[in-house]
Amino acid sequence: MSNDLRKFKDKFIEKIIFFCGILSIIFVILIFSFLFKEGIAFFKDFSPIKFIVGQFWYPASKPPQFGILSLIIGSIFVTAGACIIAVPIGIASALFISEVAPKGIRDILKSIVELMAAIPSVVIGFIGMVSLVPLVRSIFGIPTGLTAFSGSIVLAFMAMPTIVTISEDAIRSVPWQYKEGALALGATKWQTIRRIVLKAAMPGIIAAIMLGIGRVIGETMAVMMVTGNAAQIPHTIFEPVRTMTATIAAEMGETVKGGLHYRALFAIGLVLFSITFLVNFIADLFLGRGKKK
Amino acid sequence: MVKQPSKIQVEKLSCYYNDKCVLQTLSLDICKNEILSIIGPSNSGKTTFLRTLNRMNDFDHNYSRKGMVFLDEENIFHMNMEKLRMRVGMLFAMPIPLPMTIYENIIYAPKRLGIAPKGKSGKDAIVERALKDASLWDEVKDRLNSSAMKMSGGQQQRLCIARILAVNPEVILFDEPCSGLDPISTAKVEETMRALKKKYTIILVTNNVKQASRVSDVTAFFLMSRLVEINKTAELFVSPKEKETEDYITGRFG
Amino acid sequence: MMKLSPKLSQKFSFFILFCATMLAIIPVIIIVSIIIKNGASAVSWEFLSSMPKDGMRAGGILPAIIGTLSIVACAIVVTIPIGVCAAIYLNEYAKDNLLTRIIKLAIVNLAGIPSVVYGLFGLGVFVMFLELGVSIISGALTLSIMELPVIVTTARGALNSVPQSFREASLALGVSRWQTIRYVVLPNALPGILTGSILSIARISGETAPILFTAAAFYVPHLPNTVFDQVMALPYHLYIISTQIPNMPKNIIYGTALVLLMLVLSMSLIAIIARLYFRKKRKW
Repeated sequence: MSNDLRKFKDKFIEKIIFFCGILSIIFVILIFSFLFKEGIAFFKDFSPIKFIVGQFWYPASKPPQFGILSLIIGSIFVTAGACIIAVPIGIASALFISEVAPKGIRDILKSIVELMAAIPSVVIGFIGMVSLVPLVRSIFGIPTGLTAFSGSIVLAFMAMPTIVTISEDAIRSVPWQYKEGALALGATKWQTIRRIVLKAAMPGIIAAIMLGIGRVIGETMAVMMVTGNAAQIPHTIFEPVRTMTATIAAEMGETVKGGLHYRALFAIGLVLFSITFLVNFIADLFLGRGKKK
Repeated sequence: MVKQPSKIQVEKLSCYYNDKCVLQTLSLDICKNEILSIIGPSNSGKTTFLRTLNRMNDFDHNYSRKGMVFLDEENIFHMNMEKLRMRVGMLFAMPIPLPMTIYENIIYAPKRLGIAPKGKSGKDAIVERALKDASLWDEVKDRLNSSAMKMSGGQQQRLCIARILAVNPEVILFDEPCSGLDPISTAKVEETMRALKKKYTIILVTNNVKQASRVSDVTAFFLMSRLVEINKTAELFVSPKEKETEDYITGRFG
Repeated sequence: MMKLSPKLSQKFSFFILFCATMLAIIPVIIIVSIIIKNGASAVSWEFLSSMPKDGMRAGGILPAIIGTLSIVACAIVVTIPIGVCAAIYLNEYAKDNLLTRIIKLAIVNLAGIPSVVYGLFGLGVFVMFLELGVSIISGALTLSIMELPVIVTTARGALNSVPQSFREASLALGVSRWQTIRYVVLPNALPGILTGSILSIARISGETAPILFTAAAFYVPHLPNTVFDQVMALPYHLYIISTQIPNMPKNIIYGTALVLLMLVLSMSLIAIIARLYFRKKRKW
């Protein structure tokens, strides 16, 4: 091959590589603009204020009602519940894996956490439906086990790998000099972990929690299978709820493409996109801060 | 001694990292087929100078420079970077064999540069010549297909020299090539360097003053980003003109 | 209240951490064992290789398996080259400037978008706008965009673990940047890229929401002929038979869940083991 041809080929490939590099920006813009386009079309026909604060989601009634307040509250209920369960367990597991477990066991535990992340959400939803839901019903003596509480447990399990892996990274990247300094002063290993390691790893742990929340808000299948999908504002966590994601998944199949209901679901997608964008942006800020130190 | 023509001319070269000057208006001439060694304490700008000569710092966004360097009267900063590096090879402080066999390490660059002959015998000849010139052939000729990572440090460093020779450079830059080696390996590398002088122009950066006095024809002393003194090695070590040079070579600091 | 001695309090705290870890991990074991216990009896060669019968209450799940495999195969053909190139750009070429920061932010953001929103996007762009219809190709393109940030991140890690000195050694010989990447960096990053890719293949095999409106069909009586066909898919099939069809025999549901779970877990396990192996064997 002549040298000029070689150089031309090099330049050509480098152009392709650059294009692939900026492709992710293009995708984000595309996704946003598509959601935005359909969402705006929806808001021309339906007031955005009524959309956000409206209590009733009756897409089939005449005139249809597209209030997503109950869906937002449903999402918040299951997300908050999942966090209350997953955050302490997740951080404790991350501490155990990175600071306490011997090396051989650590690798096994990390592999199991990684496998946990791979279990499909429909499988988790199915198991939740056949074993967790009846259990919740009989333990709490409620008419149905398809509740926000069941959803929280299932989602806590699904957020666990994210929280554990990223917190573990943050904990492990605490410089060993910090620990040695404390240990040399006679502190026990636990005191060192609690006072030094946890503090130093905090930005990373917060990022892990944020990313876990992002994962939980966006989860669809499992949550749809165990929460009962009733579009009503719940009073306790032992009532059925419906999340934003489940609404999109359950109703898209029945809509007329291009109709008002179809666009309403895109508008929900836009809300979800904005929430997760914000959550991930905050997480990224914390991750960046953890790295700079 | 007949004065050799100049191979490299440096004119008012200044280098900066993040606007901090690490090399100040340097001008010097390097003659063909001579060994120039550059001595000086760390952070005196030696390595930056060396890396500027084959533009290894060009991808570093914190680095900037002023001034000119000529190779055979051609400004290197206007040359095609790859062509320049073919003509000006560089050996690093730590031996860096690529994770392949000894044979592949040497034929790698000729192949990628499109200067390797087509047939196997032609390639074999390049490998044999390069390894012989780097005085490594006798030690490895029976295991050319074993991994280069399994060689000793000194062998690895000579392999890296052979790898440079395989692309037929004109100038070779040595960046503290023996800093990680034991005395016996060091002696072998130095011997190789002296043998290479016949065909190549060599610039050696070293922290080891004795090494400079052993192998080089001309020695330059850098201190605090500045060239303090440059002279024939014999004269510089016997009667340095500057006080700082004398202090450094007698071991009073550095 | 009595104050515990530091030693005792350490023991107690470590025990709590241990319990938390078990609490996180035991559900995995429970889920896997419930599915194996109830599903193993349903899985046979017959089950894997025949079409569903009697409104899916009998017969096998062949079309769902084929459907999932074809969607995933198409998705990785698109996403791996793009993802690896993007990783090469970020790790090898990108300067520390605004554009790079925006790209990184875009990748973080892509990684965070809910899977059902990807489904909406795929429906809007591929199914409706590009008129590809509900088909393998629409589903695959949707999944490939969703998986892009994961591939980019793992490939970047793999490229980053190749020592900088290898690049310098090659560049110093006059070899061009791209040739250095192609012949020195990529071969050494390949194991990492490969294991990362297998992990993400496993992950997208189990995704339901993105293919819900873009590729998956309730029931298709024949196998797909082209990439423009609608297909059944394992995860969606599991969703349907476990929620939408009354009087579904339990062992068929568990059997389907088992097949899906094994497909995903075995791929992940292979990737995890391969990664440990390559790390040990690493030459530098």
